[in-house]
Amino acid sequence: MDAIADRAFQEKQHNVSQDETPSLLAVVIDTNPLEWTKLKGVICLKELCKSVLVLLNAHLSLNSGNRVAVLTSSSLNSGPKFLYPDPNDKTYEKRESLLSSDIHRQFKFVDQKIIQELQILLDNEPLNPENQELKGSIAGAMSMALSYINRLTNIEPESTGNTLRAKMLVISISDDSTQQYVPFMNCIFSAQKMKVSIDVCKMGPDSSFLQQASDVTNGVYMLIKNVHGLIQYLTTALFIDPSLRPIMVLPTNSDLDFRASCFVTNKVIDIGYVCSVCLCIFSIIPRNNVCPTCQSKFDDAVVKKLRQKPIVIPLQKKKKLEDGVQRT
Amino acid sequence: MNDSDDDYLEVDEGIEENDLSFDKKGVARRTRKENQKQKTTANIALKGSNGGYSWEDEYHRSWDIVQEDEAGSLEGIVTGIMEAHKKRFLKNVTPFQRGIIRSMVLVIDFSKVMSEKDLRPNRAALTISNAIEFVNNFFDQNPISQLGIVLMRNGIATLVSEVSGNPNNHVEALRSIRRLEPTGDPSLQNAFEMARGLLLHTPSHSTREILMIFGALFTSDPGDIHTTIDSLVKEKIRVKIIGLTAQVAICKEICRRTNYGDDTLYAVILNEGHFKDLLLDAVTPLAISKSAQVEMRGFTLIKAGFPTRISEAIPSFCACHSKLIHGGYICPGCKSKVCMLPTVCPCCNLMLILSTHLARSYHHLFPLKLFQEVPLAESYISTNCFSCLTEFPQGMSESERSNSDNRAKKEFHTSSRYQCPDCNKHFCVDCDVFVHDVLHNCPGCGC
Amino acid sequence: MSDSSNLLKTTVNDYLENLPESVHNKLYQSSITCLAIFRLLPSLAKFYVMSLLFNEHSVSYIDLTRWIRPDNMTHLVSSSTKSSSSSAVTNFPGAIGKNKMYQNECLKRLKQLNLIKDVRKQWTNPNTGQLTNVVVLQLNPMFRKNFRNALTGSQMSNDLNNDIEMTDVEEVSEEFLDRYSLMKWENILHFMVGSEVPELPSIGVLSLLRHSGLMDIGEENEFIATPKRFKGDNMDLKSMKITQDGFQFLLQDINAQIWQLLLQYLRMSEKLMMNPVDVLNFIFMLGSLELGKQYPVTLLSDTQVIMLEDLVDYGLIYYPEKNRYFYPTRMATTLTSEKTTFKTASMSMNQVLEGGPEVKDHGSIVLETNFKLYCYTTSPLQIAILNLFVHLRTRFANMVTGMITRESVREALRNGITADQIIKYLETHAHSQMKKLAEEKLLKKLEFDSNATETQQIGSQVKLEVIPPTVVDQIKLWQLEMDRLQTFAGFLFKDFANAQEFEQLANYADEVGVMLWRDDDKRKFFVTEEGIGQLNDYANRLKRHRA
Repeated sequence: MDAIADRAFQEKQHNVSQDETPSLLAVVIDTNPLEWTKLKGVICLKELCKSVLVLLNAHLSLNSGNRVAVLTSSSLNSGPKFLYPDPNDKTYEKRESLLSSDIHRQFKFVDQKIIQELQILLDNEPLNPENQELKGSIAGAMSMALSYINRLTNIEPESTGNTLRAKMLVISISDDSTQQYVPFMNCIFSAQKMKVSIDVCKMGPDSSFLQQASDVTNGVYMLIKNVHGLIQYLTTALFIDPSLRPIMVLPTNSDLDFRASCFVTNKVIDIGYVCSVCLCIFSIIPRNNVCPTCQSKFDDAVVKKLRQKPIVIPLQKKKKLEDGVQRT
Repeated sequence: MNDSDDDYLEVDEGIEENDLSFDKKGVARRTRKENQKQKTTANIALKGSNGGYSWEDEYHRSWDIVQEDEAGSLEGIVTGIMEAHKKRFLKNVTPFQRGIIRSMVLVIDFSKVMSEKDLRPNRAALTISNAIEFVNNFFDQNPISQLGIVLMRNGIATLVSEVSGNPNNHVEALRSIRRLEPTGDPSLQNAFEMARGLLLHTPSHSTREILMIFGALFTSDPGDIHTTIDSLVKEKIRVKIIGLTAQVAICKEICRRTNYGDDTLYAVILNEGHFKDLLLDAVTPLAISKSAQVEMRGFTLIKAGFPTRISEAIPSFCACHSKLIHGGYICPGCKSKVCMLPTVCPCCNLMLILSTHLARSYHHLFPLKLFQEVPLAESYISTNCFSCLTEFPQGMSESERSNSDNRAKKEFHTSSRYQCPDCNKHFCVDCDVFVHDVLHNCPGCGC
Repeated sequence: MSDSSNLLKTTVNDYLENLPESVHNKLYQSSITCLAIFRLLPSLAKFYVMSLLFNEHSVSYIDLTRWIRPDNMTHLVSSSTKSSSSSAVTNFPGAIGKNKMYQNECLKRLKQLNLIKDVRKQWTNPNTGQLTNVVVLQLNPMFRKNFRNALTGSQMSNDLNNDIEMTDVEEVSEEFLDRYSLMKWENILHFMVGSEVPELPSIGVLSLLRHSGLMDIGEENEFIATPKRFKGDNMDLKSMKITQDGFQFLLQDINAQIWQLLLQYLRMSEKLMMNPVDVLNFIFMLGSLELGKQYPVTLLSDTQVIMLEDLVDYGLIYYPEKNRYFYPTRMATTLTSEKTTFKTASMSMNQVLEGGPEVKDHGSIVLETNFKLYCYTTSPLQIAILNLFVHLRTRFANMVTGMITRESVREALRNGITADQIIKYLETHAHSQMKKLAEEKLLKKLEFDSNATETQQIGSQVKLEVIPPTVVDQIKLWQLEMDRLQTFAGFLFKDFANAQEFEQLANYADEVGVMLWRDDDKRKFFVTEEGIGQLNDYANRLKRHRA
């Protein structure tokens, strides 16, 4: 006799469902002007924008409910900024949700808006960059993107009845900055919690922060050497929809270098010492038993034990006696 | 007796003078009365607006608060209520020194009283679900810590799962005790002794803590509990107790003595939501009190290894469980393979962690400053939230504000803007909660 | 929700796949059609197309297969490492994993649409120098060119999206268009349901409904030999009754409904010698037009102009001045949209018209375990549809309430609606709160189940139950109740002279296997229709024997 809670009828198992939930793509572009000058011969911002626009169009063409958001990270004039959607153009946002079946028009609209805003951003840059400080950072832009994603995925669906998945693409050209380590890590962990995968398109130097970011969040990390094929990279490897991720093999290397680097000597270390107060890592026991970052004093007894090198007991000669008993 | 009578009379005078506080619709509210002499602050805090004790007030009906405004729309009120609700998430954050590496024993009461149905479906089941969530959050926020679980049942303490750093074991163990029936009497002393035993071998750099969920009002011990308490204090084990029924004096004393006189660690739940909040509060590391610091001769330095990850086409055995797996981590000390981190290498006893694990605890050490609410004004600089672009409601002029006839409504008028003290950008309440709960980064400062 | 959009996709896809290759190639000349067809593909197919799109060379089949994660045939042992590879795979012969099946299905679909061609090439293996046959996939060049144009925004020439200055015609507001299309569409649906309509739909629509099998001319009319019949089918068309397919049609969501009618129109148009390419192009283009803007008729081909008039009947287009301009309505612009938030035309219209943050529920049926039903709607159409299988009791300003009773479900079943259709309708129109509750319950159940012994196919037993299972099971039981009687046509044998005759014939019928029922006491038995011949022969033989 079946339990009452069991269904009386078995239903046919649906075959592999084609998941059609719309998704949100948030693109964070690193617009650090100092770094872009380093890449002068290789690629310029305009080229990158062209490729990004094609990527956005492709994303919008996948599903009529797909949305995009584009952010720039830093500039000499202002910090991270939304290029799209534009906060000042309120009428647009409402129209977007009703008219999203309008393919070409939507492409044109989005593309035009982004180009416009980018132009405004570049126009506002001061002409003498020497005395200006760089405002904003990748971590700041990622935080903004994450809170936008949070709003669209957690708070709004209650009103629209649609679930939305999200993923983030970071296009970066700069090196890691140790100042950014803590906020960067915070972004990565919150992305992990929100199940947002971070794909990284990296040009220029390699970055271990971003590698870790994509690894922790099940994303793709690509170091682009040949920038002419940028569109192709963007539309294939870095384009995998969140609904396809469970069945696709992601093109990343799994041999990541997770080792830490010492705060004092900046060497990469395998075995080190960790201060229990401020959690900073050293390769050697600091002098005076005081932690350089938090100035907290270490317990002498503990330090002494750590400093102890293993004692080698000298080999003692064994005398062999006639009766076979060894005596030392 | 005399005392309470006096208080009553005094407050009666207060009522005539402060007419504004009495709401015509009979909604019970607590208001501050400057005229009252603060004879017994505790008593006064308990008084309701009608001057008597809180159980003498008129019944507080939730639908009375919500009033329609002139246009007939409830929207303003509803948003105000929602914001007030969200604000309670914001905790006080000052950068304390905290014990990041923790060894904790979770003690769960499984005596007869836990089968009461005042919490749905019954206390024991709700406790277990909350405990599972607690375990997951605990290892999420404190990746290099360790946890063990003990059960109080039938007058004795039983070990549910060993002290370890693997959350899955604990969750499995908790699920398996769901099937047990709560019976017998609780015994605080037995539980504490067992927890002491478990925490005996913890290294000096980690904190020792006991978190107890206590539902009964008595304890049946084989000996003198005060000796146990003395040994707990001597071994510097800190105890936090969550009561489910009512305050019990012995629990209060335990908490006070083991935490250097701090009273806040013993709490009794008000409702299910409060239960969860209290439990999740224990996830954040405890601050190291000054008196404890004085006793210590200094902090500890921990030797740790940072393994490299490898992936293999052909599976090989891991040193910790002898399981066949593809890839794993290689200990830098002895080059043996372990399957997951964080762990202690079984061959050379070196603690193996990743720098990401340490990074998870950074936000406790460098907490984000609270955002301040922007006061009501006629117009504001910002029209949209800086990080999520939601629209803010418009500013209201002075006259509009004073026109609102209902005091209840007035309380819920907010500007909905919260400002970061460093970069002065405005955020909405959802972003505020998100940033402080999950992200721990201010998007405007970017650093 | 996804079921009906899947249904929509399969019908459209079936139609598209059955077209010949030349038609496909012509279709792909318009970039909008390329986009629309692209959106109808399953996600993996979209990925494949994208990866081939910007690749100048053709890609080998094996490379594409490498993207897919290999399946595990054994149940997954959760590995605690972060590596993506799975534990040892054991294959038993003939087994194909889920992923591989999905991939095969996607490739098949792409080939049928002539998007991908596979070519066998001979490559020399660099190591051994041997020639091996390698399968290589190529993207249809026409499609590639036009889709790239669509994405990169070059060449949008033969496209109605170019802004043309039109100052002399007055703008028509969106609300007017919405109301107009709503009126036309609901007219059709009301006619199908059988409620009073102010104005009957046009002959074209009626004949379409008849040809598609959604409605049928009633049986009574066939036997009336009156002169009326020779006046043409018009009178009969106006008195059609709805069929079972029609009921299924009613219970679908609006996108699926429009597409079904459009596909039927396509099929009919082929018979009328209209160019199907033009027709399809026009339909897809409609999906990309902007609401509220007017488009001049001059840009359309002849077939498309003819189509305009037909499409007016469905409420897709507003065409006030013939031969000048036309306006697409909301129904047209959402043709290629997958947004399933627009459940019925009326609901979406209401939402827009009332401008409402108040009307936040899409899908507004609340169903309790005691079979009571509450539906937040004001549209008479939805109420009429609900009336088909729910016993409606009270009607409020914004809500109707009723109960699902045995009688009401039996009425529906008698009319040809199946239990599955009813359940699917309830599920798609369920209130969002119900869905949320169902999800929470599912999570709790999964958590509870996973502490029990490990089961491999947890997914099949525990699924999202939006409608309470008691109601679902009961509706199915009521359907089974209708099948209490099973009829067989045949012959009854009775009044045998003696027992021996009876025995002989009955046993023979038993042995041959044509016997359906026998009663030895009353000496009667019942044989199937087919068996009567054999039994007759045997009986005659017996008689001859005796004689």
